[in-house]
Amino acid sequence: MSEVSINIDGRELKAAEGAILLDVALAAGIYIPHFCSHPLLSRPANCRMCLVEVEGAPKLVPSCMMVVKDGMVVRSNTPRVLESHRSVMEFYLTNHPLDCPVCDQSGECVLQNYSWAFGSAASRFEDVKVKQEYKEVGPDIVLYQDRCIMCTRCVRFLREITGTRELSVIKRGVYNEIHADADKPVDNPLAGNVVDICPVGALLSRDFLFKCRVWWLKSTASTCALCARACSISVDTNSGQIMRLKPRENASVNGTWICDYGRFAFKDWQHDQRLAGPAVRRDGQLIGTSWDESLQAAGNALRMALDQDGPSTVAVAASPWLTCEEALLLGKLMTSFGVTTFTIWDAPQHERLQFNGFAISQEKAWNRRGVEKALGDVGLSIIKPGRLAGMINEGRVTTFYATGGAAFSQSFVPEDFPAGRLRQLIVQDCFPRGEFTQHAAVVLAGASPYEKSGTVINEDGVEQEVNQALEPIGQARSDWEILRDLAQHVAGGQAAMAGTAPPERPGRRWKYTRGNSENE
Amino acid sequence: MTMQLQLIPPQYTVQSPEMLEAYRKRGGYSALEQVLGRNDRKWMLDEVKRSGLSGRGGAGFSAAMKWSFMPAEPSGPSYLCVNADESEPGTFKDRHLMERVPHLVLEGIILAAWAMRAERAFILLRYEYPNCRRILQQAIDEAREAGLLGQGLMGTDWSLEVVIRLGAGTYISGEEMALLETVEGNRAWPRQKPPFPAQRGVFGRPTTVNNVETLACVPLVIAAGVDEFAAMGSGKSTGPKLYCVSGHVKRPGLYEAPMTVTLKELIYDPRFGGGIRGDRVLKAVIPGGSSAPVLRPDEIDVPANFESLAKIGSMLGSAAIIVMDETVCMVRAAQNTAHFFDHETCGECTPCREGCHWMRQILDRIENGRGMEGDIDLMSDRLAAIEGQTICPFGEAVTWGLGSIVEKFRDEFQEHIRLGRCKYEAWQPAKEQMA
Repeated sequence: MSEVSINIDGRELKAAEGAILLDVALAAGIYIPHFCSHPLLSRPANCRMCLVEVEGAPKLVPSCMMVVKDGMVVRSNTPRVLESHRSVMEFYLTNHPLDCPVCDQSGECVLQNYSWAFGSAASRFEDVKVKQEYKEVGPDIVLYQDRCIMCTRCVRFLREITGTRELSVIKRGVYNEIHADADKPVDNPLAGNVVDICPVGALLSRDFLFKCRVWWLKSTASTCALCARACSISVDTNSGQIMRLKPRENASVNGTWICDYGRFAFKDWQHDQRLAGPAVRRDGQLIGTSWDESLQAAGNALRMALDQDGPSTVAVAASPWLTCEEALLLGKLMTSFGVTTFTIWDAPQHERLQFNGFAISQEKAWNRRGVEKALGDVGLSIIKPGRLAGMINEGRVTTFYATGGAAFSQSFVPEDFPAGRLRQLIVQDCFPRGEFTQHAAVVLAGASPYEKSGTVINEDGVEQEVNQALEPIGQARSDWEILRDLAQHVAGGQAAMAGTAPPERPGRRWKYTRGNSENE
Repeated sequence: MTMQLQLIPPQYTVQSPEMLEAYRKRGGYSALEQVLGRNDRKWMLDEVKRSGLSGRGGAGFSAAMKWSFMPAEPSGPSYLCVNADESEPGTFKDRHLMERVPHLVLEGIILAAWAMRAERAFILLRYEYPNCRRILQQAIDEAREAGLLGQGLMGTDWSLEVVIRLGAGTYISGEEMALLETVEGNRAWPRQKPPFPAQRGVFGRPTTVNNVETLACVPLVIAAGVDEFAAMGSGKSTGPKLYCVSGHVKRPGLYEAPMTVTLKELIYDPRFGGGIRGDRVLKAVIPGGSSAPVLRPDEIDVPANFESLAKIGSMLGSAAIIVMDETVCMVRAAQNTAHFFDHETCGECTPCREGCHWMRQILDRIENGRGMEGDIDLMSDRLAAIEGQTICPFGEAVTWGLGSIVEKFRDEFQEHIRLGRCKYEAWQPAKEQMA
């Protein structure tokens, strides 16, 4: 594609032919205010906020629709343009309610920011504002119509990305309303995105409504664990609680969207059956205990099996919810004991959902690719869980070390898995998995995907980082820490630690590279 | 056979419209025969260009020029859209054309479609015109029966379908880009230009939008003679023109005249408006529908054509001449106009949506005696801020229509604010209309 040169505010810029002026300016760090324009949606140029002066054009032109031409001279900060910004802001605020103190969007509201940047302190509007209804347009989406600025991003999203067309504009002029028919609420797998793309507090999430002022949120850039798409997300927390998940822009993974399954997945890990600490079986009962004691019990059980029955009677299950680093450590630790029987649990499968420019993967775990790669790097070959079940039934495997980490509603242990035939079962997981966990001799409480750091590889092979947003619940520990500590409690385990280093601090990236690992 | 240079022969009415047989008797479809016989599009474009025919919808843009924007070698279908969404206050010329001489309109459509290689013509008809719909459909059926429409019409290898689409009762449907959306079945929200319709119009295909009256002139250009057409008037303003005279005249109605006629004649001449009702004094004239800037009585001795009215800061627009006599309160007139704009603004883009409602509220206050110091300046300032900032020309219409009243009759607004009341006789406001 050929390039064109344009000049914005005296800066000479190169742009691809056919590029949009607004995109070129934003990419070059020249901020042109805009409401209705969204990079992944069509551009109707209806907000009139992005008007700029283009040499040769008699009127101001909307930069969101202007295709760059070679030699184009653009000015985005002349008095005429700034007056246009001020003027449009004044028009917006004639009918927009000044209810920022009770509005959820306050603090991350585009209108509020522009009002500071481009608006006037005083209003000349002496008349009556149009008051419109509060509406519930979907199971999780509420609409404060009088805050709406009619940018129609939501309408376009539901037409162009999901194709479900639940929202439309009704009525006319200042009485315009965003509308959903009562029998067709905004209830599709991507519905929550309309809240994210709404530049003001009109469309809000019922789940997050009045929960927290946004300036008290701490945002951690992380990755969604719910499917093999592994969308880039931001985990917004306050006081050790996840308040909401939002998509982060990532053109190679998720664009600017996430699905509602992922958006509310954190609730699944908040289930009250979450394992808050380790436990060991005494007199047939699982009894909560200390980490030292439980790790010692697990270490003893492993050592006994290795010494008495030999490494071939020990099997290990890696879970697709592990990070690459955890899977690598698991592989290294176990192979150092001579264990070579490895399986990877199958994550639940759902129909793949394809939208325009976005897909929800059929595999409901984030890192199968990464775990396979990590175990492959250790030199292991993987068997299917079904084959392992056969080996247990035949009595060839008697000791089983199983990792988990799935959400409460996700099941990954096959229903007819012969856990009862095992002599020793050590489980490392977030939740009790019914019958299976009931057979465990030791249960080690693991962390949820929001409580650990590491690296994951999605279905397209894109490597992304996971950053710890929360301290693990109760006494739970991340799988990496558990494995590290287990190594200390099994005779000969320390050797496996050589060459691996922990992601010591939350947020610090531990780069996963082929075959070994190093601190960045 | 040559045709008389006349759009609507007076004997035809909505009760007895001119149907195919009668139309053929006065030379109807001879232009089409002539054009298809010559089979030379360039010749036809040149003829229309030479005639000086300008668009009758409001802007007065050269028809031949507009057609020439269409691709000469189209890579797929292209379309003609007929703007029959006549909604400008005071305008009723297209209605008369469609109700009384439907075949003249239809022949114009066929000729224009042929000239731009369109394979389908959409008539975007105003929802409130059921008679037009009935009569036009009859004419279309007749023409199809007679082999003037459809596959391989009149023995050519070209085919044309004419389809009537109804607007959903909104003024903005008549705006060129909103009309495209309406024809597609979408909400009538204008699109930003560029791309222009000739580049990307209906269903993404090259499209030209023409007014009904413009198209009705096309058969006359060919069949009555280009030179005769061009000789009637001068410059951009050639050929017969329909004037809709309404308001406080003795004989309100539709009048056909060459564009050399003056506004004064249209109001006072016994052939036209016949003077002010009750022989009162003239106060104001809006020469081209409520979007056109208002004129004072001392400004009306000018020809009612595109150039002359533009020269004095107004426009011919849709040639809807609205006459107001001395009993009219200009604040009320502005208020009424503002109510119209507030009701009809589509609400797509911000300055127009918010501005129209704001203006309406200020004007309501002034008329009801609650005007404030500074209101007039605020109005002027905000009206100026709408002009040129919007997607479609509705913004300009608001600024020109309202702004000119505020500017030219400023005294009256000041008096309202000073007195705290309207000094004109009691008037029952129109029912509050909700969008």
